[in-house]
Amino acid sequence: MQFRSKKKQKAIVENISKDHNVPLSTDLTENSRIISNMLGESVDFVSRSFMIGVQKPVKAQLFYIDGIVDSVIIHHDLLKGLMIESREAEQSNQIDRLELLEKHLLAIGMVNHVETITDLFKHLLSGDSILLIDGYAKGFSLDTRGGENRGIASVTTQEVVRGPKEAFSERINLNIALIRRKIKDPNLWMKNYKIGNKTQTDVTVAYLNGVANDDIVQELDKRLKDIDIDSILEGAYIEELVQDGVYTPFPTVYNTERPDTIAAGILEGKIAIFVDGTPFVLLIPALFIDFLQSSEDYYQRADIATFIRVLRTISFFLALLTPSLYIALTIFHQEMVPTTLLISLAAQREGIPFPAFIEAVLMEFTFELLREAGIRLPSTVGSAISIVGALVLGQAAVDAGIVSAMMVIIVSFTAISSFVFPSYNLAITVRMLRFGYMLLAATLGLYGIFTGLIIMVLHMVSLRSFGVPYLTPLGPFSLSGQKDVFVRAPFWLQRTRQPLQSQKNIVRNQTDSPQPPKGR
Amino acid sequence: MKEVISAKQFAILVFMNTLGTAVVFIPTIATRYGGENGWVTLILSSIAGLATIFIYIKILDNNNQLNFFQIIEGLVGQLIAKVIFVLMFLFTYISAIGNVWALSQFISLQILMETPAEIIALITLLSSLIAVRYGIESISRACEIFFPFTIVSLVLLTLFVLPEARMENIQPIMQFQQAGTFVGVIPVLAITFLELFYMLVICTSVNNRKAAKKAFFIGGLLAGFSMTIVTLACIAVLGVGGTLRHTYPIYVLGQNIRFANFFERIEVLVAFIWFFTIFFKVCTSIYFLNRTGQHLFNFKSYKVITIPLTIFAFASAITNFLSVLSDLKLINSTYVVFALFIGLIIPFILAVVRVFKKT
Amino acid sequence: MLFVYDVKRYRGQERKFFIGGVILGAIYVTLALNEELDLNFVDLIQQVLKPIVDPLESWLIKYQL
Repeated sequence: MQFRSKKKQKAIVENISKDHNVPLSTDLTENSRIISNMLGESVDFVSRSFMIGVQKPVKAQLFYIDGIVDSVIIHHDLLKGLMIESREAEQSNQIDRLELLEKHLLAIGMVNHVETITDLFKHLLSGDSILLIDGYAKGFSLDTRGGENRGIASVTTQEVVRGPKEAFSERINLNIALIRRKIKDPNLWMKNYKIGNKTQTDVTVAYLNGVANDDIVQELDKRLKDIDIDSILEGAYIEELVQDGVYTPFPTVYNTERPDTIAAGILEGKIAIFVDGTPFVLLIPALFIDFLQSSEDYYQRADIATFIRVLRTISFFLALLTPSLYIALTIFHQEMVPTTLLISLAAQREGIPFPAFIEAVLMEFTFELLREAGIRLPSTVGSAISIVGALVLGQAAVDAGIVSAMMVIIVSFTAISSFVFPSYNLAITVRMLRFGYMLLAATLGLYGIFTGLIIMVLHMVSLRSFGVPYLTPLGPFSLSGQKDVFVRAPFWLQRTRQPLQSQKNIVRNQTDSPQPPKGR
Repeated sequence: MKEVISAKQFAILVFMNTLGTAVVFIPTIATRYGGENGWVTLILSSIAGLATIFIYIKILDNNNQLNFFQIIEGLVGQLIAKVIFVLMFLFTYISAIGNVWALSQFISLQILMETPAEIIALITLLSSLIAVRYGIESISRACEIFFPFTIVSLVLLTLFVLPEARMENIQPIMQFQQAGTFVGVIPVLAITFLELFYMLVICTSVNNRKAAKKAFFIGGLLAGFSMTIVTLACIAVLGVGGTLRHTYPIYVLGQNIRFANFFERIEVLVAFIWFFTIFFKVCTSIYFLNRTGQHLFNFKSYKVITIPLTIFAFASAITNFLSVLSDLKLINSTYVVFALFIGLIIPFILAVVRVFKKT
Repeated sequence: MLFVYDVKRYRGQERKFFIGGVILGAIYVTLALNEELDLNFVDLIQQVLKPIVDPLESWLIKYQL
């Protein structure tokens, strides 16, 4: 905490806009010159001068940045209205020209007044058009934001069999609309921030007023306002700047590109953070169990969902510990392996030049390489990688006697287990910690693994996500919270929201359990 | 920041702390005095232990403001309180290093045959250092998470050895060694419930004092029950002679497990129970040492002392105990006197003072 | 790592105590590992409590199997 405040005293990022907080001039050509100069006469900057009215013509100028505005609006609604329809409006006896413009001519939904250069640039660079009239020291910013956008695509990272397929996109207002469409409640409140001195990125915080914990909302507000950075290019920037723990491999902010997951989170009392320019929306507070749950758990039958959750929990430990348990058992605790299995293991390991630990590290490392290569490569080459992996590094390595067949099984098993996680964040954490456990197993056997587990749990329980203990409802144990952890209780049993995230307004459901029709 | 734990967590901590080293040594000690009635000794000790806990909680008032040290200073004055703290510090120090060393020896003898006990002591102390630095809140939450595993291991152990139990081993009930059955309560009490006085420090950080007092009893009761079951199982399966012969009878119990012809030799189950309980016991006692040190030297944070104390504890742990046999002798002699003095007489006096101050 | 962090964090009296404690501890560990120093707290307690312990022990032994 001390480090942070020290850094804050130094202004690390120079702030352009502060130096130019000057009011607009009444002279239109002067204004135009300043704006054009400050933008360095960039090519995408468009300024169009024209006259309003015929009898008493007045000079006006429209500024916008090409590409981030909707040109149809500018051509059809703005310019047409100002240049042609203005002639008719002239007839009425209006004293103030600006008022006349605003009330009768600007056929645009959102119109703001701008009076300073800073203001002007803020709007201009976000895609608004600026209309300045000669003789007035103020102008209008007109909402013409638009431009190309890839639209609502389908989910690519967290696929489901049953459930909505739509995903967020890069455009923040579209993303917010997706949530609005799901939660039609006036209590869904949103607050906008502009973060990043250079990027001026739109960041929107959405929560269900009356359900979300007010302390967390305020804490997030404070942390967001404290951010002083030049750029926000992805949600991860925000994530790292607002999270609680500094040094931890575990994610304490949840991210997803699924609108249904975000909506469910908001309904549970969590707070969503939308960041412009990324399809990934953040959700806080994020608990450990959130990373082991998928939205599909709620779309499948409760018993099946429970089964899958238990499977996932087991796979968490398998992905974390399988190689290290293998190492510990073969090096230190042979007496625990059933005799027949031990004999077959020993036969396989005969002729392998490496000790079990080196062998395991080698294979795990190779696997990580393959996986990383598979992600970065174009998808057409991706299949080539899997062939190389399966044939050359798997089969051939065993045939050549470099690694044992058991080791290949262990590594593949670990890999499959780690693919089960619905969240990529946690999968990376587990991949990383796995190597630590292998080292512990190679030096101290099962005792090392136990020590590692204890330290890991100690670390996890000390973590907090916006004040909520990370292992809730396991760490501070709560019986009512267990309905939605490893077990996904049927909806008619889940009458309250998860404790600790929201203390008030916790009743979410009053449906009784379904009954067969009476009298049959 | 004041750390707050719940009564439930406190009960679990009490359970872990009582079971600690005890679950391994108790069967031998109880059997040595009570013979086939060893488990009766355990029942009697549990009753005596609950009485001890009653004395402990009498010391505390219902006021949530003061911590343990301030309460005692309020009772007997600064100077005497300091002397009491130093004595308690010394006792807990010896108990802590004893536990660390017992665990290290057990692991290096039974599980990791080639690793020297010194390394294991170092690793254990380092992880408890990390735990103590995370604070009692984290320790108790971690405890809460590992508690189910401990209980499940205990239950599995008892269930699995059930087929091996022979009733004639625990018969006749209360025919021989009658006096011994009662005398055995003293050493059993010394290494279980009398060490619990340091839980009072943690008791003051429970959010609800009344619930904490109740939790103290519940934890003690559960621990007493578990120890009785384990002792009963040891005597029933191994017989009196077998229980006395082995240093770690409960581990031998684990080795006897044969289930479905596949689950053989799952004595790791026992190692599980022991490792978790003893680890949390070491953490709690080191936490107590640090808090006492902090109070004696008047520091702002107890974390100043953690590193030096861990270094000292490591050095003492690896030199102060000579062998398992001398340890057993120690448990039966000096330790009993020391524990009775620190864990029973001093708290009793304090409780009496408290009662008199009230009236 | 933790050590450096601690040294940086504490001030004045606490820092002195900390550094002193670590140095003393280090000396103690080195001597203990080389078996040159015999600072045995357990023995110490045993010596101090001997007059009370001995009668108790002999009394306890009577009841042992």
